[in-house]
Amino acid sequence: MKISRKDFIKHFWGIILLPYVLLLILMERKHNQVLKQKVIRIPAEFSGTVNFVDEVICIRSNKELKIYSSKCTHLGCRINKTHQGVLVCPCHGSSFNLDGKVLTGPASKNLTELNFVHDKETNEIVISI
Amino acid sequence: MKRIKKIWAFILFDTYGNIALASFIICIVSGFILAVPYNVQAAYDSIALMLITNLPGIIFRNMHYWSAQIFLIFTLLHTWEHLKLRSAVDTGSGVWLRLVVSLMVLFFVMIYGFILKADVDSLQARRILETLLSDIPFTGKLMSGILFGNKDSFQLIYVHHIATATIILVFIIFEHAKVLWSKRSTFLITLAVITLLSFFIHAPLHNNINPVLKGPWYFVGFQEVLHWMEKPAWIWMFLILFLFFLFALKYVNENKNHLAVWFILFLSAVYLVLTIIGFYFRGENWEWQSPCGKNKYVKSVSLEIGFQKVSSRFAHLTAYDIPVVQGRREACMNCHTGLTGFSPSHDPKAIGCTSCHLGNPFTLDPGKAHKNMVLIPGNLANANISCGTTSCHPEISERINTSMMTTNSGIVSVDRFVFGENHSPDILSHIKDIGHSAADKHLRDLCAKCHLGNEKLETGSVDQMTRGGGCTACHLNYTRSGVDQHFAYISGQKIEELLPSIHPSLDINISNDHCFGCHSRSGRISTNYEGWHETLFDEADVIGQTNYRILQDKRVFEFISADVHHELGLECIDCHNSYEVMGDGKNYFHEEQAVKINCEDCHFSEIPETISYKELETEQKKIFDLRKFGHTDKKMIVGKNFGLPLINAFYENEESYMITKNAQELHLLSPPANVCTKSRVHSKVSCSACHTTWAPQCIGCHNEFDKEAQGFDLLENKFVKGEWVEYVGTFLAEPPTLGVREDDKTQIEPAIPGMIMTIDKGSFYSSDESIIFHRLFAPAAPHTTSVNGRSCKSCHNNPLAIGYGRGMLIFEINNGVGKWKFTPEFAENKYDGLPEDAWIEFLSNSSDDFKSSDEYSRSTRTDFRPFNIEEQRRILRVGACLSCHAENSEIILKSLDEDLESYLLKISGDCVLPVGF
Repeated sequence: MKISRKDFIKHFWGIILLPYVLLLILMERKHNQVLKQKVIRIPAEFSGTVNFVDEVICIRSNKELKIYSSKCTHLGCRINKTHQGVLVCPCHGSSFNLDGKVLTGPASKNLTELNFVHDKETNEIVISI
Repeated sequence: MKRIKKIWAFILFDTYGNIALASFIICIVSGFILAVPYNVQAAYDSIALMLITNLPGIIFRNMHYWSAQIFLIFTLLHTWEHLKLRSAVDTGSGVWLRLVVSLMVLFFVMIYGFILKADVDSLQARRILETLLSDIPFTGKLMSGILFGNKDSFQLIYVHHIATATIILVFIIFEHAKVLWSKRSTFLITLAVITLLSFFIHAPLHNNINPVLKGPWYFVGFQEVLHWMEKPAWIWMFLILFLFFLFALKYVNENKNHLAVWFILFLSAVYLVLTIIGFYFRGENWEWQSPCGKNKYVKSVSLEIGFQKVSSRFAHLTAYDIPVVQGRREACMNCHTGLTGFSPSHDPKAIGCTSCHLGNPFTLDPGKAHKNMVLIPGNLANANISCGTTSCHPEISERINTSMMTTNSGIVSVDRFVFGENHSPDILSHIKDIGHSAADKHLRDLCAKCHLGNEKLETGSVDQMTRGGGCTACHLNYTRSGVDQHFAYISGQKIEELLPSIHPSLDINISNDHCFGCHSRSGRISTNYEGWHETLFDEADVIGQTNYRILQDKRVFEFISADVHHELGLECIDCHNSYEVMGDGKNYFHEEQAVKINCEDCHFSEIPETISYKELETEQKKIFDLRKFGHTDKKMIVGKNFGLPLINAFYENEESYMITKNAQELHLLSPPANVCTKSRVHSKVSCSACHTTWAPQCIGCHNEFDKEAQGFDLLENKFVKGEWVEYVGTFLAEPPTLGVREDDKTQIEPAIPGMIMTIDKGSFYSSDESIIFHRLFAPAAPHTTSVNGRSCKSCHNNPLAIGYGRGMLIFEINNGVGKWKFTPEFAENKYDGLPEDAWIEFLSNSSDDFKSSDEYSRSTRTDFRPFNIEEQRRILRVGACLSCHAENSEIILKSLDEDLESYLLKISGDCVLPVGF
């Protein structure tokens, strides 16, 4: 089957663009990789049980410290307050207990617990997100 | 119908499409102009700055906003029109596909515009969209990255808003309409309407304090839908299906198209309902809220209406003249200059004005700036949006709701118990939840003002008449000059020239005066502490007498003797800490359960547990630092029962010290006397049982409901018809009776006649209900401590201390037989036959009936009781000894070291003990 150059371009012009799309994907990935890591440093001592700092929630219960991402697992809104002892998302009202577990939806997943290290020299908690 | 059509035709001066096109042109041009003041690097700030200083900029921003909204609405109407006319059939499939997809582009360009204002609404909307896109399998993260870029930057969004999406829309409009310019008349009328709207209705900008977060109006319905979806990524499926559905309309016949159009109309109506619900019926945390709800501060951020009126004196303001506080421009401070009096933590330079007072910080128009302002921040009704916002004191504003001073749990449950409405005095209650039963009405008439939730409605300092006020109840302080200026302002014409230049301070300098208003009532610990006892005198009765004090409410107090701690200069806060007063997050039945300080925490003989400054928890450390304490190198004493550090008490070189919190005076803490710690026989006697000098005691009270009287509902602060009237019997200031607390340990504590009273319930319900009589004593902490404890006889030979009431208690010995005899001073009460002031009957087994049923309750607590018969006998057995032997005699002092039973075996044959003991 013979195919003219004009027809070829008409039907397969997308193939010509494909390498550029791949380049775009690679560029976006590289860009993300370069900017992804963010380090948050917060004082190890804080008042009360819950402390909202930057993109994390620090919870100290029974002298144990846990750090959670403040990103609501429903749609990513930032959780920045407690209401009657539970963490509440301001956008759609999902609530989580202080162990990060879902109490009421719409969220169905628990909050993401984050790893941290205690910098004893500066008495700071260091979290990489 | 014809008339309506004519009116509609007049309003719609051209086709939907042409009006949409005219709006689009205006939107592009106004957006181009807006790019001048808009700074993508500091998006929120640049808009705020424009709102404050740049009136033409405001107009162009409003034009951009209104032209965009009109473009959206008329594009949708235009689409609807085309669907009805089946235009798709005559349109090429490629063009139709692009038109359908362009609807998505239209919404994207709109939401980009919403995000670019970079307030909290915008930031959350951006997070939602990024998450929604990221959740699309395979390509989601890439799309999110391409469409939104770095999470801390608005650069890509700005580029897509002004270029990518706009170019796409221009291309599609041209392809579809073959024009890029509307009729001149249409353009001019559209421009006129948009300009008019722009002068009077302003595009919103969130002040980042209001806790209600919502998307743009056209996405609020979408937000409501997402609220119900556990897996929100499915929303893409619905959107794609809907676009496919629109595309497919090109290929259906007229009947099916007709049905489809009705279906779209139905969907639109549903979406409109969802939008109305989301906008008007959803509040903070997307919870249901009435649009006419009480809290006017917590509502959706809405459009500002009215022309901006700005004084010419602000004509030359520059960006440097408008303070930026906590990332927010605060134009308030451009008018309210020269204010002094703030504590460093609450200085507007640190937190601005809107952090506490709300209002609109983005305008110099006083009318608009003061709209929805909170005049008195700190009332619990607004604490979550003033003192308790996330960046200030969120945890305290939460836990204060569990403070006994907020709930009044004990007062409510005991009152209901006394009225027969509760089966027990130990039921967790809250004053804000009381209703209108006889007991609750009693509280409303007599008690319900003294709680932190009671709103402070008038400006001015805290005085003896102040009740409640949330955070201000304790933390509000006026200087003398501040009070004078405030008085001059409110008593004058409230003219600008008299506006006070001294702002009250919000700080931790809490004096006894802050506590006095509420605590000079009921247990009266504030007045007791200073040595004042309430009398039934009138002001006129005591004129010229120095031993009396008249309070602001005209009650007359007589001086008895002050608490030794008061004489030494200690104030309430020197003992009572933030976790007692503001709650610790736990709910308690009664006030004594919430108190975390004990006498033994300061007065001890052993080496105390201590803690270093470094180990202090942040709240304690913050208070320590704010008070500028210097003992960071000292070992601070830790409270025995609750493990709370006493930040103003430390242990050094085998001595303990306390520093008063306000005056910063150093006091040596003395250990308890030997008799307190060495004596085995008094190990169950609390410090206050011995060291309380006197306690206010009220006997013979009657409550009757007066239906005709004008009462005042203290909970709702309004006049009502009918009120409970309390007829007082006698007020006495004498050493307290003693009772037994039986919780996790047994302890003897002071008791006062909490309620020896009658209640005429029939007068309330207009029924034949009989009169309720109660003889209930209450455990008390009278705060009248003396250095020397009570004498032996003041307990063992005192009928009042044991619970029999006042009178003569004599140990009579006739013919070698000893017998106790009691002659009461007060007459017998007709309801139970006991002397009016008694707690229990003299040496009667009936006192053992305590707690056997409600009918026999003897105290306002389930864990507090009078002495049972065996205990009375043990007390009086010693009393018999004291009838002959002096208190400090060797024989009595030796008895303190031994068990009483074994000691009595050694007594002389001449001694006579009471018969039957």
